[in-house]
Amino acid sequence: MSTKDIQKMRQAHKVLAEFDYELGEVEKGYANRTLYVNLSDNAIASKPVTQQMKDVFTGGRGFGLWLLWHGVTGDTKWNDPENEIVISSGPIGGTTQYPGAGKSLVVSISPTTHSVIDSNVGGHFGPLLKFAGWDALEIQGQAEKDVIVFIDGNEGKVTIEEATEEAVDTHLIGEQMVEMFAQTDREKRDISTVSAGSGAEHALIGCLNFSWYDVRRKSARFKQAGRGGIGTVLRDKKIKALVVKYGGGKGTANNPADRERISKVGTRINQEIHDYDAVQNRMRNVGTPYLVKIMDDYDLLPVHNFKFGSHPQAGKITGDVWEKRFTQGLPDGCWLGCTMSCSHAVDGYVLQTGPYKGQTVIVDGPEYETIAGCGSSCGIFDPDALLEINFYCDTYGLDTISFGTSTAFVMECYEAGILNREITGGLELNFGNADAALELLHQMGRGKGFGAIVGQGIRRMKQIFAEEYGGDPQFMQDIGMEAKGLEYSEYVTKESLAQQGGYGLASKGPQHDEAWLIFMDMVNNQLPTFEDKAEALHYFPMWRTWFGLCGLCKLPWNDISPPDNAETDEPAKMPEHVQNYVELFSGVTGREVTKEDLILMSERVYNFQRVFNLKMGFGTREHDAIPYRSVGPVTVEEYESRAERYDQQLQELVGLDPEGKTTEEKMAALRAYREEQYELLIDAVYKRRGWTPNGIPTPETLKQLHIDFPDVVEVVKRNIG
Amino acid sequence: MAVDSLLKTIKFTFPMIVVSVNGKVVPRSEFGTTTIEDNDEVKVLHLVAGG
Repeated sequence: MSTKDIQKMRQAHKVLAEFDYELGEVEKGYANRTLYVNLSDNAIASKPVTQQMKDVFTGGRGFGLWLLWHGVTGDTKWNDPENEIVISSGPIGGTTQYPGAGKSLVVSISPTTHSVIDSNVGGHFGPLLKFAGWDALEIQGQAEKDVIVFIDGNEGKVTIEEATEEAVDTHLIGEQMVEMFAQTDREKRDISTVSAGSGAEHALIGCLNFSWYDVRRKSARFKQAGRGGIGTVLRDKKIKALVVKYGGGKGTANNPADRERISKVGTRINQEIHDYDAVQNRMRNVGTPYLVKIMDDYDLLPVHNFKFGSHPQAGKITGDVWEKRFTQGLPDGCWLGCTMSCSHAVDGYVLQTGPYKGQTVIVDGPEYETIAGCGSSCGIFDPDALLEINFYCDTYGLDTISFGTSTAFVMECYEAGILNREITGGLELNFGNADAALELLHQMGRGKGFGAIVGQGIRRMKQIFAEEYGGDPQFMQDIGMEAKGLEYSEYVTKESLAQQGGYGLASKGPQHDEAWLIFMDMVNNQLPTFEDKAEALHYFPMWRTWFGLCGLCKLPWNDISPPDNAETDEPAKMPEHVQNYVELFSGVTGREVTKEDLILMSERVYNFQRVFNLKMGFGTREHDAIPYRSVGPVTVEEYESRAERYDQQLQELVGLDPEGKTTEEKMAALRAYREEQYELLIDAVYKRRGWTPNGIPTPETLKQLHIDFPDVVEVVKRNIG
Repeated sequence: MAVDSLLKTIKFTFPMIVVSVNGKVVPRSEFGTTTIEDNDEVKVLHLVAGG
C-alpha cells in the first residue's frame, strides 16, 4: 500500500458532515460530555454527562446502557436505523499507572439475541476517545454508502466522510487508517480504529476490532469486542471504520483527583506482577492459553461440542506450544502501562488459505477461548489451523467464540446424520476436519454456501435444520450450546451447578465475564448449598460488572495473586486487590468509596440491564433456560464416558441404585434431578437479587437502587403481573 | 507422600493453588519437602481465575 494509494483513497472521500468542538480537559476521569452521531441525518451533536449519570450509572457499560435505553424502543430491531452502537470507557479508563486500565465497553441491540448486548474490549479507542473530549460515542442511523467517522481530538473536529475506496477487512483498513490520518510516523501511535470486516456483512455473529499501534512491530494490532454481533450492526450501518486521533500526553490525561494515591497502588501491583507472574499464571509469556492444559486436566475443556472435558491430543494446543510460537521479549499490553502484558502475537505467519493466501501477517492471539472454541470443541488440535482461523475471524470481523461453538454444533449435527454432504455443499463436517471449518469461515466471508447458514448462529440454525432438513428439534435443543440466542463461551459446566447459573443467568447470554465459579464450586466445594451458590451468583457478577463501568480489565484482579492472599478470610475475592480498586476509584474521581459501594454501583447497572431485557420482550425466567448439554450428558456416549461418576451421583444424590438399569434409564433419572436442581438454584438467586419468582426486579428493588425512573418502573409494572 | 506428589497424582495442576495440612498453610516453596501423613486433613483451594 503506497502513499499514493492512501492519498487516492482520501481524495475520494466526500465529507457529509462536519462538527467543530472546543477541546477540553478530562476532569477526574470524566470528559463530561458524550458525542452523538446520526448517519441517517448526518447530524453530529454533543450531549452533557449529568451528575445523575455519574451517580447512578458510573460510566462505561452504565453510560452505554443509559444512552441506548433512550435511543431505542421495545420494538427496535437490530437492523433498524434507530438501533445504536455506544462505545464508552469509564472514569478509570485511560489510567496508565495501574495495569489493565484501557478497556472500552460497547452496547447495542444484538442480531442474535434481539436484546441488549454488552461486550468489552482492549485497544486504545476508549481512552483516546475520552482524551479527545468524549465519555462515550453514540452512533445511530444508517448511512446510504460506506462511511468513516473521524474524531480528531487534536483539532476538535468530527467528520462523517463517505469512503468508497478503503478495504472492509480489518487487517487492511486498520493499516489504511493509520497511514491516512497520521501525518508522521510518531503520530501513528495516536490513532485507534474500530472496524469489522466482510464476514460481518453476511453473518449475524460479527465482531468489532479495536486497534492500537504497536510501535515495536510498526503495525496496527487488534483486540475484539466479540460477543453478540455488534460487528454486524456496524456493517449494517455502512460504517467501514470509526477513527479517533489524540496526540497529547497520555500518561496524565485522565487527570485523576489524587495522582499519588493511584501511583501507590499501581506501584504495588506492578511489583507483584514483576515478582510473581513467572511462577503463577505466566500471563506475560503465555497469556490466557495457559488455561488450556488446566481445563483439560480438570475435565473442563470443551471437546466435541462440549460432550467431553478432555482429549488425548490437547497437548498439541496447550500454553507451552503457544509460548514457542508467540514472539517473546516484546512487552505486549493493549493499553499503556499495563504490566500484565498478556496480549501475544505470532509474527511472520504465512496464510495458507483464503483471499489473502500467501500474505505474511501478524496473528493477534490466539486467546484461550479461540483455542478451546475453534480447537478442542471442534476436534481440531492443529496450531496452524487455529492461527489461520483466528486471523480470518478477526479480519472478517467474526466472533471466534460464536464461530467455534456454532461450528462444533454443526459438526455434531453432521455426525448425527441431520446434515449430509448434499446439504453442506460437499463439506465433510466431521469433528477434526480443520479444512472444512476453514472453508465454512471463508464462505461466511463471502456470504455464500453452507457457511452463510452457519453464520446465522445456533438459534437460527436449529430452526432451519428442523424445518428444512428434518432435524429432531429436542435433540438440537439439547446439544445446541446457546442461551438467549448467544453461543456459549468455552467451559464445560456439567459438574458445576453454580456455573450453569453463571451462564444461564447472565444478562447478555452465556458469557463468562459475569461469573466464573467452576473452581469454587466443583473443585473447591466452597459453595455446597443453594444459598452459598446464590450468594456467589450475587457477589461475583456484581464485582465483575464493576470493571465494565470503569474501563478496567479484570485480569489484574485475579490472574495474579499477592503472596499472602491465602491467609485472608476470603481468598477467592483477592481482598488486597479489591482494596486497590477502592483506592483507584477514589483516587481518580475524588469520591471516597468503600468496597460495598463498588458492588452497589454494579447492582444499579445490572438491574437496569435486566429491565432493559424486559423492555425488549425478554428478561423473565423462561429466557434463563439453558440447553441440557450444559447440565448433563445428552447422549449414551457421554454418560458412558463418565459412567462411574454418574452412577455414584445417582446413588448418593438421587437415591437410585444404578444396578440393573439401562443407560437410558439412568440418564433420564439424572436429567430429572439435575434439571430440578437448576430450577431450585434460580429460585435462590432471584430471591437473593430482589427479583420476583419470574425473574423481574421488584419496584422496591428499583427504588432501593435509585433506578426507579418512571419509564423503568413502567416496564416492570407492565410485566410483573 | 509430599504435597507436590499428591497434587501431581490427583492432577491438580492449577498454578494458583493453596494447600493447608492440618489447618496450616504450606508455602509453595515447601510443597516438595512437606510430607502428608495418614489421617492428616489436607485442604486444597484453587484461587478462582479463568475467563
